[in-house]
Amino acid sequence: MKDKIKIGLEIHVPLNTRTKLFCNCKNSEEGKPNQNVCEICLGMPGAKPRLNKEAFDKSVILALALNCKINEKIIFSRKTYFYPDLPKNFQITQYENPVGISGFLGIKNKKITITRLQLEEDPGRLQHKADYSLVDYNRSGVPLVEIVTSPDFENSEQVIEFIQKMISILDYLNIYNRHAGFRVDVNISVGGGNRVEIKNISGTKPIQKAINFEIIRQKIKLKKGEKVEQQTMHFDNETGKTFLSRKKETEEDYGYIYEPDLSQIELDKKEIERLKKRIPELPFQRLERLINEYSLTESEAHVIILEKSTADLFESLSKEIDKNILKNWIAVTLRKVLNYNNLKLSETKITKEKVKELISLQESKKITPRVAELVLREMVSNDDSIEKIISRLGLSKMENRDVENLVTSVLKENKLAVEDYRNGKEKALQFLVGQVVMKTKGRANAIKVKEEILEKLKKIN
Amino acid sequence: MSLEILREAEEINQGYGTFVTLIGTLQKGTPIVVKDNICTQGIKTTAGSKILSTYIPTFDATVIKKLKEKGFFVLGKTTQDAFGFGSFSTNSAYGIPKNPVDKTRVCGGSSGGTASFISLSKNVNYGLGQSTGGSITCPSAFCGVVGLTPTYGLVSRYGLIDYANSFDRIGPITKTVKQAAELLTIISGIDEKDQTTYDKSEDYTKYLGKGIKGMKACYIKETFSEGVEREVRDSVLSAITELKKKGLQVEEISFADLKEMVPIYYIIAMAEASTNLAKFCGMRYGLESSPENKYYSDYFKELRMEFGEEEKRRILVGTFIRMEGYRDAYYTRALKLKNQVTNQFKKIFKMYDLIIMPSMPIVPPKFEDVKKMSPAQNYMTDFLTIPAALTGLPSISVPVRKKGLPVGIQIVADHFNEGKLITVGDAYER
Amino acid sequence: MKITSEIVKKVADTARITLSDKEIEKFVPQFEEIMGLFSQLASIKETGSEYSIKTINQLRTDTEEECLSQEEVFSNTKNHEMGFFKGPKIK
Repeated sequence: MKDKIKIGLEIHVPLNTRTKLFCNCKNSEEGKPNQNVCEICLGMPGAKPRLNKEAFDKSVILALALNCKINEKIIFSRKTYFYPDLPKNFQITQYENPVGISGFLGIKNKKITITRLQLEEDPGRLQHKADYSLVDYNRSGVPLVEIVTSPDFENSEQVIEFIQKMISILDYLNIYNRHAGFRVDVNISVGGGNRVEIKNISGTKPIQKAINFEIIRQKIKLKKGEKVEQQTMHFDNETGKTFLSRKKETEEDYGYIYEPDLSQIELDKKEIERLKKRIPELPFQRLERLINEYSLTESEAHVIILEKSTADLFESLSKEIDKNILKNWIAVTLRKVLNYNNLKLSETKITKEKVKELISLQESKKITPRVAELVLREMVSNDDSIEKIISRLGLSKMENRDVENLVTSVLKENKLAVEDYRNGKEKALQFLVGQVVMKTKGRANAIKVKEEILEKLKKIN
Repeated sequence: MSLEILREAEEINQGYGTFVTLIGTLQKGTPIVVKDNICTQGIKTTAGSKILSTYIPTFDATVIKKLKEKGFFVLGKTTQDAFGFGSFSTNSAYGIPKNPVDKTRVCGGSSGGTASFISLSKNVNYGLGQSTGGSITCPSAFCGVVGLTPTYGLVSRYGLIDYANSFDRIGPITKTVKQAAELLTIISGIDEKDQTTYDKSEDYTKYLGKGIKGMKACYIKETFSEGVEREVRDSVLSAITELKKKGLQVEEISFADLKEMVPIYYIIAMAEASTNLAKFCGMRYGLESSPENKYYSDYFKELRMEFGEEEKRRILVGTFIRMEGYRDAYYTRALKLKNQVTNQFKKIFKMYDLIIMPSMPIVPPKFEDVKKMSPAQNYMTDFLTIPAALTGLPSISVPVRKKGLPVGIQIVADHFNEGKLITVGDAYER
Repeated sequence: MKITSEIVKKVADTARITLSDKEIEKFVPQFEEIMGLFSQLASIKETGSEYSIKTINQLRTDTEEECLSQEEVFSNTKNHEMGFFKGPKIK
């Protein structure tokens, strides 16, 4: 076990409540700096925190979904340290008695232990100038859930699988402000050596890169017979390297005390049952069910359940549309358009009715799959009817005669290719088809165009 | 309001140093003076500290909002120990208020300015004080006025600049028990802006003019013995005799560990205070300089130099007792013991309606004598007010001496039994 | 408890308080006296009660309210620039 790798995570998830954790300011970083601030999130003397029930409930719901034990008495604490982005110079977080403890989340062949899940406030945002800093407190007081795991991971693949699963759960629970993005602290030790913490990485790719880099860095050190020091590092996504944080002048002693402005919260069984009801079927449960119920392959099901809204769409349309067409449509076409826009289905203007209409237009061959996709792209941000979109984009179905005319002109313009084809070059035919399809903006069906060209060539013969 | 009120206030302020800020313009309504750690929109609010010499709140404390709705206006913001750190109002950055009976003596702390002014003014009857460890009772007793410290959670703390949030309470300082009852009726009640408040407000004036026959009180033997001056003891004991004559049943009990509450209280208070004062660092509000070209720790330290001596002392001790290695032995243990003490008092209230003791163990000391006291000796003078402070119990201090240096009787009731305090206090006055 | 000037300095640094040598000299014995008072805690008998914090469960509904105006936000400081608060350097 000389090279045994141990990786643990602290994941910070911003919640999608309307308001901040302790005040009624809008939970949003959009707009001007210091626009969504008040005396509470600026830490003005005299102000007091007021706990947001919805944020609290969402943290409990997540803890329940991650199989945590919910503490009977939940307490907030003050973690004192000095930093310009922290208005009170203490953060209201949890120390003793967090929302949840001892949970788990399974990944392939492994169960990852969640040691604690706590609710806390985010600090503001700093910008560094040459001689001073600029602070925007719009983020100050944003509700964060911190999920802490045991060092159960052995490689970056497991970490990424876990994080993707987590994101999917957050989506199903509808508690995560994904635009704000989650942030992860990773701690890594190799061969029973010291633990190195890499702070504040966001995005799955940088997390994977950082872990892989750090594992190699530590392995090389160990091979050389050097000792890995216990330290805090940062990851530079540009260079792909981890680097040492500036050592603080003094090690902070957080001196935790209870937050006396917030009373202790007791959750009775009835309340917990009520919150449990807000947990829908979770993605991994749905995956199993979709595979069985609709005989999907695992990879198809996987793409469909990625988002709760796409899975909902699939299930609700499956009674009306041929399952095989539907699954391809959702797993391929729709997924492509959503990924391209980096949006969730629920964040677009795409509705179930329109999807149904679009698929049936495609199935009745009134539009081509290519046109269907172009229309779908428009539907992301546009309320117009499909008919309107089609005509606005000049995508109405081409009359046969229009195709014929186009074929005639393409053949005229590309005599060389026609010649080549006649001399037995099959590729030349593909080229000609491509030219026609391009001119139709994808409105014409390629097979039909090919037939038309062959017909024409015969006639010219 | 007449010019006379303004003129008198200015005169008292000049002689006794009762105000940080005196509003010099005529306003309509009933005048009230307010301790300077209670936020008033557009009026400088310093909490008695130099570090907040420029702070002008953008909002009114809930109590101020309620008072304005009832036709009160803020005549001035009164002097106090910085952040409430003191028993004699001598730790003030804005002049030290003096005792209304003898200017060479202290007026008590930390709500000294309010108590001294209410005692001296012929025109103004209402004042707001604030107590953490006895800062309403102490100056009320030393200045010969009535001070009512409500149950923790009865009056909103929203807009109060924190000393120790677990203990901080806003309460009336007035000339009579009736006025205290009127004021409490207005300022009490649940507040969504302070999640530690309860929905327990009442019309407290209905407890005035009632008999005290059948009410059962006890006095703690130890509060009349060691460390309590003879003058105080005699005055309070004769007040008890008067109350007995009016029908109050009084028995003696023993509570040997009374003084143990002092360290329990001060540990929690200082731990909380040291976190509350972390926010003052030359950013966003308060004293500041240019942050350019300064590393943040250096800049924060530069500004935090401006704290007064007692502020620094409490920040340091408060930081120490919550540091790793000490936290469990001091801070966490003190919390447990706080609960234990509260349970002890709850047991007494199963048998008695009221507990009676002196408000302070001493008569107002001379400034020169206070100077000679060490910080720890200073803290020990609070040993009679700390029991109610630590347990969140309501108490009232009523003056019991017509001549000489003022002395107060302290009556403590069970949580949310302010009505009983008003009935007894009012009966004593009549 | 023995309090040394090193302890006082370390605590002061944690709390971002600068003390002059004279202040340290003055604080050390005071600190020791106060800690002497606080150490009486060790001799108080515990009767087994746990610490308890009040339970009220009076939480806030998640509805937006108006925030401060820019004028109010910066009304208590000169240190602001282009809508940001100006603070000291980090690096």
